[in-house]
Amino acid sequence: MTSNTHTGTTVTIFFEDGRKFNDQRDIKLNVNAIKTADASAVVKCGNTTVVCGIKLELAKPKAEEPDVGFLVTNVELLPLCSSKFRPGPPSDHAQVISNIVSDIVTNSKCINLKDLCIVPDKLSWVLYCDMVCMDYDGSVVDACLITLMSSLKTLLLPSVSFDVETEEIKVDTTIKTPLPVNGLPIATSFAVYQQLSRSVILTDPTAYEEEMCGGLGANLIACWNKGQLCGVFKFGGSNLSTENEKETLALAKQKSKLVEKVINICIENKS
Amino acid sequence: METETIKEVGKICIPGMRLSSSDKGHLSGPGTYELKGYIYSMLTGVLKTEEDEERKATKICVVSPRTPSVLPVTGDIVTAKVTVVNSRQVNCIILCVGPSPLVRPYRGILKKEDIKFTDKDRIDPYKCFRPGDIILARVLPMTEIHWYHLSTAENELGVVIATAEGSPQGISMVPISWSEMQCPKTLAKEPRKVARVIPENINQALFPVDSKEPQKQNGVGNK
Amino acid sequence: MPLDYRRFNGPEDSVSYRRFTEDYTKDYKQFLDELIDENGRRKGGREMDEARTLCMFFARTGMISQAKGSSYIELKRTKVACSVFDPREIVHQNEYSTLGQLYCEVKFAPFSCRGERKALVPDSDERALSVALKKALEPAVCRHLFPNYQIDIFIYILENDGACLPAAINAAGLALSDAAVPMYDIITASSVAISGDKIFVDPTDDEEQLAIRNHDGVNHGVITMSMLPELQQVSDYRQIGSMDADCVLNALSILEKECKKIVPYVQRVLVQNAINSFEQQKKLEEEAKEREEALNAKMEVWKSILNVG
Repeated sequence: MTSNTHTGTTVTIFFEDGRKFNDQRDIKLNVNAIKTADASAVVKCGNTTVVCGIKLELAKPKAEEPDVGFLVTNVELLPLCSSKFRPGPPSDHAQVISNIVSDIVTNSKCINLKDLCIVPDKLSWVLYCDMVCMDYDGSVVDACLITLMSSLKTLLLPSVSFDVETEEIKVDTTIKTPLPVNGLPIATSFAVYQQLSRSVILTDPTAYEEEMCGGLGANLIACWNKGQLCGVFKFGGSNLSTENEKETLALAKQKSKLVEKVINICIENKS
Repeated sequence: METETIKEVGKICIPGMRLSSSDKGHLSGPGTYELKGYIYSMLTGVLKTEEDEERKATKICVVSPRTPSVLPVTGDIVTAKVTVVNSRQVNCIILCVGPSPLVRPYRGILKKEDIKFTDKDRIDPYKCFRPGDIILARVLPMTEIHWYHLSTAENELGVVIATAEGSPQGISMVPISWSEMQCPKTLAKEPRKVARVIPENINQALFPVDSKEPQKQNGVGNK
Repeated sequence: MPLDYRRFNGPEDSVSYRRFTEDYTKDYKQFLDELIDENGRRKGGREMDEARTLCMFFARTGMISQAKGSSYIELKRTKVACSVFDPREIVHQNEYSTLGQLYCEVKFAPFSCRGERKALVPDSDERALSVALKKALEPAVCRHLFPNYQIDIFIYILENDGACLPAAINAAGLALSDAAVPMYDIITASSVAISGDKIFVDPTDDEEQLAIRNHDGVNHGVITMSMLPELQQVSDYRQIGSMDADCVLNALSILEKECKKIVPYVQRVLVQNAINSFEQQKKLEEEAKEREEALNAKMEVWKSILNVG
């Protein structure tokens, strides 16, 4: 285990688990493991484990946007997953992660919220997507997005009949249609470590590496969707030269393609 | 294959396993407890037996592969780092108990009168410790929540690693007497309550394995 | 309910679509018929007194790398993860106590239950389970070894298909042992659901619901019991519902047998865990030695270079 080999010196962290600076950890993905959820996925990136479950509910659309459904994404960092988190309401860090994920998903437009509307002004789907972190070992945003997108891709919506006059709702669970998902936003985390004059960039950092590079969470998160950038976040840490930035974006793009393949293969094998 | 590895590791115990009867010939060591005339294991680990020369008995111990979640106990020797020094006491954080490092640091207090066992009324904490020093100390009986009371009133206890003021990081002073240390680089001398560290028998002298023995030694320390 | 400003909230009036499916309106009789087939077997092919075989996937710290000890238990579809952390200071405590404390928290995943989505803020159900877990574990842990400190035990239920309290207790026992917390004994737990003359051992969610929904005035309810098998002690007993004394005694003897049946499984997991840890330790030591040798070799090279210069 990596945590046993900490010696506290900065040299060892790069070789902590034998990875090169820009290597990423192995990804393990499993879809629809949880039957009580309408769709679910479990992902393991190295030690980081995130479970996503989607619960479907019905509600009346907002009056100002009658033809739009709801997509509610939350990230929970449980006290179970690391000693850094205490029980109680979500910490600032958890809220920040939750916000980043929600931003990426809404802005990438991978789910057309109009697809979630059943009868305008009367009835629409509410997708509660809860991502829970079971093991916090860095790069949580990457793992959250992978589980979320895999769950969304496997989600089946049951058919609903709505009687406009009597307002009676009937749900038939035998007929199910998949939710159209266009695009696949994939994020990549980086940690920037200032070493004398140049900075070292670590791809997919572990919790320990994130900590050594200043504070909770990754320094830099880049997100690609269908060959387009759909969100770059930089949090404190050291400065980044232009070449370094180019390099990280290229790395992120490369990774997004790879992860996309992983997700697609996994879903194909399941169905 | 599985049985082979078991043989290699030794006898594996799990909590609640009855290990032996508790009599004159068998003593309960770390990782075990006594109940109704028997010795039981309280950890998952490997069975180890030690011969106790003094009492002519076999001590039964269970050693866990993981550092057990045990806190400093009265009589233990701890390694601590000094954080605050004032005229009445020295505050420190406990880093290790005996040979095992703690995962969470626990707070300790070293009262002025527990620093040395001679000249108790003329002790000046500033002339014994400085913040950042690494010290060896013995745990006194616990009377307050959240604070461990410590004592360095033994020759073997006191400052082990210290850096002189103005010296570069990582250069520690060398003891030149029981109350002074000197920096090898700047040759500056500073007063400290120096621990007499004897590397060879340090384990036997400072880390008694028997849980009953330390209390006896502790009594000596308080004199 | 006050709005949770720290999370994203959906519309207030949303309801689960399952409320509009046909399953929702079933009555007790239909429910019962569905659970037991004509041969007296349960749905899924189990006998009435057959527990779900414990197919435990007990990963040391492989499950939760950041915790001191962790475990994961799967009882067919009930999935529970547990992590245990080192003793820490109790924040608001002013009194000296000779016994350490256990802080237990049981949490359901929002998507863990079949019906409504669970709220993210802790509800009374979770609190009750937390207290039950704490009470069950307290007699098993050597609490006198960490006075004035507390050990945190977190349980997360990923999927609830009945018997989640016994699963939580079993998981916590394994995780505590994995974290090398001193314990008097291993702890095992089991539960039965009683509905009329039928006793379901290790019930599923449906069977639990059935036992609680039965209002005919006859025996009904759920009993959970945890035991310290070597010391022959019952550490916790919990009964929900009403039943006569004979029924309780009968259930107790069944539970005792069930708790003992789990013991070999727990033992096997613990022994395997110990072997793995020792192997890992050995490997780490070897690696450390290698690294040291490499460093020493480098030192020698530098030294020779310096001497030449």
